[in-house]
Amino acid sequence: MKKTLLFLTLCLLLPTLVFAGEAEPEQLIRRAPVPAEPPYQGEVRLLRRDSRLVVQTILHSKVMNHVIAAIRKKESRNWPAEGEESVDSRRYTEELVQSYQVIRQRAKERQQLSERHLQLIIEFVLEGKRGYVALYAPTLTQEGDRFVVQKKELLKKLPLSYGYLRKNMQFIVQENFRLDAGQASELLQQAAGD
Amino acid sequence: MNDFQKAASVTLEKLFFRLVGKWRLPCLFIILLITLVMLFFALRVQIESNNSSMVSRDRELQVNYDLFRKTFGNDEMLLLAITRPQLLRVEGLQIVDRITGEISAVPGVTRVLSLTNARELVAGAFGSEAVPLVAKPFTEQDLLQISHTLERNPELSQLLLSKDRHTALVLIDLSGDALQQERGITAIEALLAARFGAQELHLTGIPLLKLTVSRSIQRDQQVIIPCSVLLLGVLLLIMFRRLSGLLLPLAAMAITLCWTIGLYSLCGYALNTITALLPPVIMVLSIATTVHLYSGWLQLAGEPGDPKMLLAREMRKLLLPCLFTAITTALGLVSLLVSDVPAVQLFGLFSAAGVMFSFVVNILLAPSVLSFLPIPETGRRLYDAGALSRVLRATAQLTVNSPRPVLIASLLLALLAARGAGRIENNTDLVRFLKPDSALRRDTMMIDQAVGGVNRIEFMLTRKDGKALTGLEDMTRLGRLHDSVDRLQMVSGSYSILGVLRQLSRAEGKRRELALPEHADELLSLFDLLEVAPDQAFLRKMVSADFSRLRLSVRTGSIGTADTAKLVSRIEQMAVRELGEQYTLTPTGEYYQLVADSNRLVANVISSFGLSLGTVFLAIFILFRSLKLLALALAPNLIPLAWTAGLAGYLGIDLSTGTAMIAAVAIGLTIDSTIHYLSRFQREDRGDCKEAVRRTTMATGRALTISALVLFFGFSVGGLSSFLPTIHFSVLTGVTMLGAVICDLLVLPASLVLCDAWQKR
Repeated sequence: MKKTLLFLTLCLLLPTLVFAGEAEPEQLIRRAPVPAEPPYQGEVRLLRRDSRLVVQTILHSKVMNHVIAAIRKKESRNWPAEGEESVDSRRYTEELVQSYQVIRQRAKERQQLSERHLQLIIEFVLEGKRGYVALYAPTLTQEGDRFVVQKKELLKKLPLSYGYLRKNMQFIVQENFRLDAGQASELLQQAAGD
Repeated sequence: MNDFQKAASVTLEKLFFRLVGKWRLPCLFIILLITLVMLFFALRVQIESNNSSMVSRDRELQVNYDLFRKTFGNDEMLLLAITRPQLLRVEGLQIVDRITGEISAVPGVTRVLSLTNARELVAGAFGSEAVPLVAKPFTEQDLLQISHTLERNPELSQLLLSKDRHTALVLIDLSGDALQQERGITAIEALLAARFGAQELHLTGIPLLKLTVSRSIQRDQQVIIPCSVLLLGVLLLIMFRRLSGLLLPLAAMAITLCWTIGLYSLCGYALNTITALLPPVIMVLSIATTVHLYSGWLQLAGEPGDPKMLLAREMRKLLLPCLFTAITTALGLVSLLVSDVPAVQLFGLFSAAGVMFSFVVNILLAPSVLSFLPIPETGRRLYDAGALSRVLRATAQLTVNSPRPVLIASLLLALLAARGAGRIENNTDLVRFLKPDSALRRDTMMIDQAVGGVNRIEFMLTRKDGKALTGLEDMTRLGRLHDSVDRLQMVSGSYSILGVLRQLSRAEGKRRELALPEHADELLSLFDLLEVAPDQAFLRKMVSADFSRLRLSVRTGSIGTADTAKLVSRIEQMAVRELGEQYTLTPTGEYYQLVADSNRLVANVISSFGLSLGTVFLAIFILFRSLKLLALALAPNLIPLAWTAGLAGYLGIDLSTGTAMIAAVAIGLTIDSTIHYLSRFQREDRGDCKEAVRRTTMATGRALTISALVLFFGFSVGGLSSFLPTIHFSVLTGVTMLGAVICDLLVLPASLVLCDAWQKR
């Protein structure tokens, strides 16, 4: 009888164990291609990953240097040098440039002349009052204006201040989902379940 | 005359007798009814606004242009020149900026480019950036900066500014829809007049040229038709000195016009540059037939017998010559169907229909109406006296007594004319079609002088293997082609994506000079950047989305179609040399389409003259069944054409879309006088050729002279047109008619007398 009960308990626990071994489950809240019209250079997604709120930017571009330059330009505009969070912004853009150099070097080494696209994923992640920026070298496939992440290799995980991350996530959401500041903030709040 | 001819003659006379008797009222009623119905449609005839019927049905040309428009959009553009002595000062730039802004807001305008909204690519902190060519707000301190910017961007400067920097060009792209274009242009004209009337502005461009043509057609219709009626009326009154001699031809003319234009409108066609000639041509041709019938009636004066019987007999006699003259004229006009330009085909078809309508109307209307009138008592007396009779008598004597000198003199004149004809060039200059005092012509010439050209010949460049033109070799070769083309005398500039790439390369590489990158990878990166550039609509005007098709625009001065065709040919040769065999450079675009169509139109119409000549002389042979008369008919019909060609050559009139039609139209008309003369000659010839010539000249000379004068003055009314080709066509055709009557009264009789003398020898 005890053996039977033990077997049944194991059967009930097994799916939970299998689930625990899988990738973190994601809930897609909203997405938009970037730019809104083709040729698409990537995609911005607002995700819930467990208790974490993620703004994921998938980049797939032949002009990655210009995309990075555009991000840097926005960062310098949004976070002026005299501001409190400008240090975070600078750290982020420095890591971004380094990650770009890594993926560019890898592409050169592969010498894939026919494939001129470089791929990068930037994730702004918030969990409670803490958060970080993660930079990945992904393998992507494109289906229309959507990008499917086949796999991703973490290049850098950079803990940054809550204020900087929250505000930057709002900027990204506001710009790419074409919302005003209030709507973007509200969307992030709803997504975080606040 | 054989039995069949006699029987046919009797039957025809009976029919005419019935027509002038109990059939006349029903006949007149039916004519009136048809005329009212056709008038309804004639009054609704539209005016073509987009010149589409002037575009040929050449498939290759059309396919290329369709592909060009599909790839690069509409290439129809307006050019606005703003001239000020201090253009680059604050006030000048503000004016340019205001005009640019206000025109951009006009519906139908898709894009405006000027000094104040153009952008240059510069090196920024984060890569290349597009910044305004002239930064706002404009200040006097920036003048040196503007000067440097313009020197740094020679291609943009050349495109938007005159060399002396006193004239700025505003390039206005229009929607491809004809109606929107018309509204857009009208709104721009109104805006410029209302808001910037004090400025020195000049507006030009192919769309404006088309609209001006459309407006001028409307104006010409309002002026030429009443003037034709007035002039022909005065002429008829002078010639016949009778009210019936005025009203009958005018009525026949009005009815023929209603039928022809009514049918044209009923078939759904709109009047264009060429078919706008239909009303005056039909009016003149219709009058000529009535003149012969009315003259025949006048000649019945003093004849004994039943007036109706006499009238029926005279009409029967004139039926065949009138039918054959109508057929030959129609054949001459129908020969224009060989052209592949719809406007010319329509003109040929409907003017031929008009001629046949005129014959039907005249042959039914003239006897019916004249049967109500008593036979004149003074007709023959009028013919026997007067200055014209004296001239005709002297002419008859001259041809009978001195046929050789008459022929030699006419041939010498023809030889002299042939020398002048050698000076004629095949050249259609669209802007110079307008009168010198026309605002559009003045504006175009001004812009032409200031910036070196208003016309753009477009080319599509592709690789024969269909691959993208993104290789360094592709662009290097294109650069070499640009250099060669820019050196051509008639070219004021050539533009392509290469200019943008050079700017981008300078900005990306933070260099000073405009040049392509040295490595293929760098060039590919530039194309990658273009692929994601924000203003894709602007780039699509220069290169296809997949970079496999490039646009090369060549700006030229206001040159004629002949020079443009030579220029295109030169550029194509250069392309083979500079680009190599693996590339295809295809000329296309709105302007090239007009040039190719005009040149082919002229070539087609010249070939149609051969057809016209053949069919007309075949008709003569069928009518007279005599090779001798056929041979004798050649000289009096070809010599006037040679004289006209010589006159055109000496006056410097080019062979254009208008003048090329003269020969095909004129041959069908000049032959009419010959037919009337030879028909009468056959009737008068009873063995004594000289006497027959005297009698024929006296009998038909008056009608021939009157109809020739009617044709001359009738066509000359076209001289009031707004277009030089219409003026040239009208006046030269009129002159040919005068030459034809001179030849029919001098060369033809002299030839008959000489031929008879040779036969007797």
